[in-house]
Formats: sequence, C-alpha cells, structure tokens
Amino acid sequence: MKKKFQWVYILSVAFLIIWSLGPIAWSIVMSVTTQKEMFSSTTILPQEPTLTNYQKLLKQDSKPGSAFLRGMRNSLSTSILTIAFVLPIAVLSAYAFSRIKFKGREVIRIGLLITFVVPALATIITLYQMFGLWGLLDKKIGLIIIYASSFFPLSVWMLSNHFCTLPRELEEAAWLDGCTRIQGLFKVVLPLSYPVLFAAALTIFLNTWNQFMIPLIMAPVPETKPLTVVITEFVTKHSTEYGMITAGGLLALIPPAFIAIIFRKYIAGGLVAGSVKG
Amino acid sequence: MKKTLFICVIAMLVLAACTPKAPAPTAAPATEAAATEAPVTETAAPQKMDASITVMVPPWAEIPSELIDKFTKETGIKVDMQIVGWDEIHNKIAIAAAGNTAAADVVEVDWSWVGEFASTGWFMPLNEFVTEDMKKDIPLIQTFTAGGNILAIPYANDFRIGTYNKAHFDAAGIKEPPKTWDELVQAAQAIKKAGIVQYPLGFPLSASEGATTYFLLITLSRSGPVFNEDGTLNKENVLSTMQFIYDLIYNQKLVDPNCTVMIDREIAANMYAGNQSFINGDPGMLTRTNDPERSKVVGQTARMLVPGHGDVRSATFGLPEGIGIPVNSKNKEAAWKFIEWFVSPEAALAQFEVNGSLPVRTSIFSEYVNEGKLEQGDVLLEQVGYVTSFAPAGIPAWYPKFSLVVQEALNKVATGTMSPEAATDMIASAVDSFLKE
Amino acid sequence: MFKQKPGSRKDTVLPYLLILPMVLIIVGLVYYPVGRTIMTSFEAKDFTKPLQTGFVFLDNYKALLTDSTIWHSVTNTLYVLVLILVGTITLGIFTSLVLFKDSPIKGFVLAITILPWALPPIVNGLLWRGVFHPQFGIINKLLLELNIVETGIQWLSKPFLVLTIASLVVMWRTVPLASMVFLSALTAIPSDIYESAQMDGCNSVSAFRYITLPMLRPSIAIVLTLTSFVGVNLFDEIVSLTGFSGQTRTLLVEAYIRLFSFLNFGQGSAFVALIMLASAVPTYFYIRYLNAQVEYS
Repeated sequence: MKKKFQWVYILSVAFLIIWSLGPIAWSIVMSVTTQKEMFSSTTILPQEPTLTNYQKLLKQDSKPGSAFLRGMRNSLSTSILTIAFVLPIAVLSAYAFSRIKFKGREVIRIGLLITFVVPALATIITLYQMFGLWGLLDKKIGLIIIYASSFFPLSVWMLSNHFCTLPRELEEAAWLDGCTRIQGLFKVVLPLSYPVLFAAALTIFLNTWNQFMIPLIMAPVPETKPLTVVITEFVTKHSTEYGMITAGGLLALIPPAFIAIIFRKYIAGGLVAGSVKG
Repeated sequence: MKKTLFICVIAMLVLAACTPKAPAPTAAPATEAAATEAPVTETAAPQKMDASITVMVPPWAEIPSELIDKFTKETGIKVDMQIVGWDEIHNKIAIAAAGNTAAADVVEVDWSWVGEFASTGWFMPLNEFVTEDMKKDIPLIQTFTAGGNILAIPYANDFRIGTYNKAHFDAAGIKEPPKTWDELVQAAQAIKKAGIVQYPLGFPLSASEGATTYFLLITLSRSGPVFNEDGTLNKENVLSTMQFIYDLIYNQKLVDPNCTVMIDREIAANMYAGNQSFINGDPGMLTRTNDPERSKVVGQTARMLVPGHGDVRSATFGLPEGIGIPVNSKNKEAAWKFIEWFVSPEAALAQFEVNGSLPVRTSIFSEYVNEGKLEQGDVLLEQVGYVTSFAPAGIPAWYPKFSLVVQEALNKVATGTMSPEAATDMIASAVDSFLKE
Repeated sequence: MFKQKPGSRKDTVLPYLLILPMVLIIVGLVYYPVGRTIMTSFEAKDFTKPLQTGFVFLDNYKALLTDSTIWHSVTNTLYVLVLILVGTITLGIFTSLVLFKDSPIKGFVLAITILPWALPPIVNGLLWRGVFHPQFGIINKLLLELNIVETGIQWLSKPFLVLTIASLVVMWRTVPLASMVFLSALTAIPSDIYESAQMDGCNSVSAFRYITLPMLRPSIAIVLTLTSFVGVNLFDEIVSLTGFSGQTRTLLVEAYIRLFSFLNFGQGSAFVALIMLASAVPTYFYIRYLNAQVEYS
C-alpha cells in the first residue's frame, strides 16, 4: 500500500516537472540553435549549439543588445515604480473600505471591483488622446498610472479582505493609547499585514512585467519600451528570429522567476486571506 | 543659431529695402511664386528652420543616427526617430487621428493602407510639393496616389521576383530557369523525382497577410487579372489558382503541407535551408540566401522572373512602403523637407546598405545596376518592367477586409476543409458585398 | 490634520480622503474612457466612410448581432473558457495535492511549478509556437524520432486544435497561481479533521471528497474568477500562435480587428461594450456573493 503510494507520488512529480519545465527546456534548446539549423536539422538536439544569441543580447554595444538591456532596465524600473505608486494608495483605500463605515461605501467598492472586467481595448483609444493632450505619451509615469488604474481592484480587494480578518481590538487599544486612525493603521495594522503586502506587491510586479499592448501603443520608444515589446521586435520583416526570441524570453524570465520563487509563500496567502470567513 | 539670425536680418533688410520701391502689382506675383517654389526647391543658401519633427517608421526603415544628425545640421530641423512595429504604426495612426492629433509629423504609409487612408482623409495630399521631375524619377508615386491625391512618397522599393536554387535545377538536368508556371511545375516534378528535395515549391498558406499577396501574385502571373473591369472578382482566374494550389499539395505533392501553418518568413527559411528549390520573394532574397549566417545554400541560388503563362512572360506587383504627413501635423513644411531628404540619393544609399531596401528613384536604381551594386541587376530591372497592380483602379478601401477573407478561404482549401469552388464563391460574394457598401 | 480622535466627527471626512486618490484615477482612467467608448458605440464612426457620421443609437449593436461572423468568436471564447477553467481547477488541485505532501524534494518541486507564471503571455505564445511548430517543434521531432508518425503533423492547422492548444498554453501559466491558492487553503485545513475521519473509517478518496473539496470551495471560487478574466481576455496567445485567422478569433481578437484593421470605431466600440456587459453581470453577482462570505465591519 505504502509503496504504491510512493510510485504515484513519483509519477506525479515527474509529470509536473515535464509539464512545467518541458516548454522551457525546449526553448533553451531553441535558443542555442542557429537560425540555419532550425529549419534544416532532423535531429532533436542541435549539432552545433552556440551561445551567440545570448552574447548578442547581453552585449551593450550591439544593436539588439543595447535594446534588450535597456528593455530589461525599463521593465524593472517600471515594475518597481508601479509598486511604489499603487501600494500606498491601495492600502489607504482598503483600510477605508474595511474599517470605516461611510455613506456610499458599498457602491464605491463594487464600482471599483467591477472595473476588473474592463479590457484594455475599451480604454486605450481615449487614454491615448488624453495622454496626448497632457504630454504623457512615451513617458513612464503615463504607463504607471494606467497600470495603477487596472491593478487597483485586485490589490484593494486583497488588502481589504485581509484587514477584515484582523481583530479590531488591537487597533482600539492603540486608539486608547492616543493614536489616531492613521497612526493605528501604520503602527498596528500594517505590521500585521506583511504577507499580504508582499503578495500584493508581487502580483503588481508580475502584472507590470507582463504588459504588452499598453506600452506598445502608449510608449513604444527606447526610453520606456519594456522587454515584452523588445522581444517581439525580433520578428522582423524578413525573418522570425526564434533563437533570439527564446533566448530573450528566457533571460526575461529570470527576474520575475527569482522573485516569485523567493516570495512564493506570500503570494497565495494574500489571495486566500479574505476568502474564508474572517 | 547665429547663422539663422544673420539670414533673418538680411532677409528683413532686403524686404524693408524692396517693399517701398516695388509697385504693388508686381510684388504680388513675386511673393506668390516664392510661396509655391519655396517648399519644392532648395534655395541657393539653404534656409535653416528652427523646427523639430517626429518620424514614425518600422525597424527596417531605421537609418544611422549620424546621417540624421547631418540632416539636422544642414536644415536645422531636429528629428526624433520613433521606430515602431509595422502593425502598431497602423493602430497609432488610427488612434491619433480619431483624437484629431498626429501620430507623428512623418509617418509610414504602406501600399496596402493607401485605399483606406484615401477614404479616411488622414493624410495630407502632397501634390503641391511634388515636382514633375520627382514624379518622373519615382514612378511608384502612382501606387500612393488615390483620387489624384498623392498621399505618401515611397522610400523602399519592393516587388516580387523569383529566386531559385540553381544547384537543384542543375542536378535535375534543367539548364534554363522556367519561363512559365507550367514549366516551373515540370521542373519541380523533375527535382522531386530525382530525390533532390521532397517539396521543391513553397507558398505561405497560413492565414496571414503574406498568403494574400502570394495568392494575388500567382493569380496575376499564372492566369491574369484578379478583378473584372466592373470591380467584381474574376472568378475564373481565382478558381484556377485555388485548384492549382490544391493540386500541388494533394496530388502532385510538390508543396509541403506544413506550409498551411507557416508564414512567408518561415517558407523563406526553408529556401535558405535548402529544403526548397523555388520561391517568389522580395528583391533582397538573394542577399539572404547568400548570407552564410543563415543560409546553407550560399552561392547556389539565382534570380529569375516570376513565371508567366502563354504569351505573358511575367507579371508582378509592387509592395512599396512610403512616408506621408498626417493632416494634423503641425510641422508640415519641416516634415516635407525630411521626406524629400529621405528619398535623396544619400539617404537611399543608407537604406540600401543598412536595410537592403532598393531605391525608389529610377535614376538611382539604374545607377546601382550599372555600378554592379545589385546582383543580377539586369533581371531585377527586367522584372521591374513587369510591375502592374492587381487592382488597376487603385487599392480599394476594403483591402484589409478582402485580405482576411482571401487568407481564410485559401487556408481552408490548403488544409482540405473547403473545395476550391466554394472558396472562390466565398471570396466573390465578399467582394460583392464590399462593392455594395 | 487627522489629529481628531477616532469616532469623532472627522471620521465622516477621513474615509473619503483616504479613497480619493484611488477614486480619481479609476474615474479618470477607467470610467471616463469606458464612457467615451460607450458613447462611440452609439455613433456611426467608420473612418473609411467619413461622410456617414452621427448618432445612430443601437444600429452598431444591431449590425453586430446580425453579423454571422461574430458568433465564431463567441463560441471560440466559450470553448476556450470552459477548457481553461476545468483544466486550471483540476490541474491546480492536483498540483497542490502533490506539493502538500511532505517530501525531501518539496521545495524544489514548488519552485519548478511556479516558473511558468513568470512568463509574459506574449512570449509564452511565441515559445509554444516553437513547441508545436511543424518543422522544428519538439512534439513533431519526438513523434518522428519514435516512429509514431511518418510525416510531421500540422498542429496549428485546424481551428479546433489551435483553440485547444491555446487553452493549454494559457493553462500553463494560470495553473501555478491556482495551485498556490489551493496549497494555502490545504495548509489551513486543521489536520485533526482528517484524523477523526480516519478513526471513523474514512479512506483517502472519501476524505478528499467529503473534507478537502468542501474546504477548498472558497478558493475554487477565487481561482474561477481570476481564470475567467484570463479566458475572456485571451488575445496575446492566440495572435502569436495563429495571427488573426478568421476561424480562431476570440472575442477580443474580433474586437481588435474591427477597431484597428477595419477602422470601424463605432462597431468596434459596440463590440467591446458587449464584451464588458457580458462579463460585468456575472462579476457583479460574484462580488455580492463574496460580500456575503466576508463580513465587513
């Protein structure tokens, strides 16, 4: 009985590894295959593996290299700045929604959450025109506030669900000690919310990292272009550089994968926090 | 800056000196003449403009920044080059125009967008700027003219020309490149029979823009017009192409069924890999088949005319790209200066050397041929002589819709899910409904 | 500014101040543009017909609903949605059960299963095109190598296959998040429940059926919502797998074509409005349901 179970476990793990790593492993193979061999080889592994694609991407003074490294910096800085912009505002709103009774709270809350269903296509035309007037096209700050508008529902939802689970008594004790509401939020509520704050920050990071259509339309210049846009530019008029695309994709995977793996236990925690009755 | 000021002061002095003396009647025609001339020809002392413009072109139109700097130095016009993907340029033009702004002062206009943009009125007619000489030297301006309005000036010459693997043909005992599609098919049969390659022919048959252009090219060169004179679909010719393609895949097995899921670039990659013996491609194809980094058939390939039929030696059509000025641009004059420069010999040479784009000016083109800059330049020149349009009345505004229908119909025939007859009817009725609108 | 003691009169102003920045951004960058889109949907605005403009009220909607070609995109999206939902839930629960079991390689497996989540959708589609490519795709290469087939298979040639593969591709990046959610729900189940169930003679299958699944219900609801949005908004993967092919268009691809290829902003906006309406109604009820679950003070 025990042995059989062991086998089931091993098989399941094997399946998970193939399922998750298979496509990534194959793109590693593609990234070291030359364009020439891609279409002519009949063997599974390339006969003349090469690291030229990586060299091209990581060389600052080559054309694809400078674009790629710049894209990497843009993606990183935009993601971090978006977290810095979204999180504080989301915390304040979430606190108001979960701790203070006020007129119109439910309407505003539902009004916020329902915007989750708005696709980028519904807003992008008007946003382009507005940003054109305000001079926000091709600027990082423009991208960041658009991202903010689309990440608020999820972040506020996660945070306010969590705040609801915290016992009110702690805060009330702080008030008795002379704290204001805002001080209570910072001194009592936030220290108890690190996992959720991490989770919210991470989802914001990953979602920003993955953006494609919005930066493509709103800010496709070298100063702001994220990695996703740079990578698709290896599809040119006369060739699809699969080697470059996969090499670029794999390198682009490193920062978010690194962060996701380190902070993995917070991500889900934040999402689940409020789902069970608090 | 100082120089500009100096010129201004001189100009003001001259004006001040002239006006009181010159009688009113003669002054008027003089300024009028100056107004019409000014944008067209360079004045003796090139007047510097204190303007800055944005230019939005796809990656393959990017030219070295040193050249741009030189342009700025000469004209005083600062240029912000925005390199944007080709599809996205189309989107940005639309979004910007919807908000009554310009995506940039100078914007890419592909040949396939001309019909649409003619009806949207988003681009400024350039007729007043274009000289007769320019028109004569750049015949492709015709492609960008709709309803008498010149919407853009072509900067990259592109048309379809055949490229074949000479080594494959030689090995199968074929000494001369085929002249007609029938001869090409026979040659392909011989190559297949000799066991040189399994699928000597390759067409893009996935649902993509490249499939539409290839389909139109086959129809035009193998059967004749795609449209009747009244604008409806020439069903006979289109049906013939559909049957031809079906036959090549399923009966003769000369075309790889994988083509149904591959785009034009991947079909070309099979040419470089030596899996394929013939392709109708762009004029730069030969440079790539001879590029040792991507090609296994270096030195084996040669150009040939797109095959014809009967008495028709060949037929092809142009797919040039141009640049135009959105009506909402605020720097039209500076924008035109840039366009003028962008098709100048100097910039054309950069386009050619950096991006492999052929020049649009006949004078430069023949110069390159004479200098031996273009491999088999004579064949290129001959092919240019066969350039026609699949839509003689100009690219229709509904071309994007038409293209999607053709792709789908063609792909269904190629995957065997629709009969050639049904596919032809599908396209024909779509065209009818476009005409009715 | 906030010196006042909690519970005093200032509390009537404070909450509004706290939510103000968020409300400004949401109203300005979401509600206003959406409003404009809805306005446009009532107008004749086909840029290739610049002379026919003006208010036409529901004409665009009528034109859409009588256009037989849009139903393709509706059924395509529904098919993909169902596959993604079923796949993500089952694979997510399966993964979380594997990860829940104590073993020396637990951390390693966890790290690996989380990886696909970090891949941007557009790169994801391009990568999988490499997996299913007829010539150099690994699937065909393996099939040929093992002599299972004689010639390569055109995986992306049939609409049904393309949509199935696209769902698989989407699942690949939604499963990690789902399994994380399920895993933390599993961790939250007190182990003494299982112990007492075992004492009552419950085997592991019925323990799963009667204890685990009911306990997972709230997290299933969360995964369902998050995944539904991914499904309805499917765009990047389809486009990088097969382009804008008529047979595999999803709702957003169809809307995109109407807007940007056909330049018909009126009809395109109407289509986007319909998509929003169709997803907003279930979402509204879902939020109400969640409200009932979570008690707000």
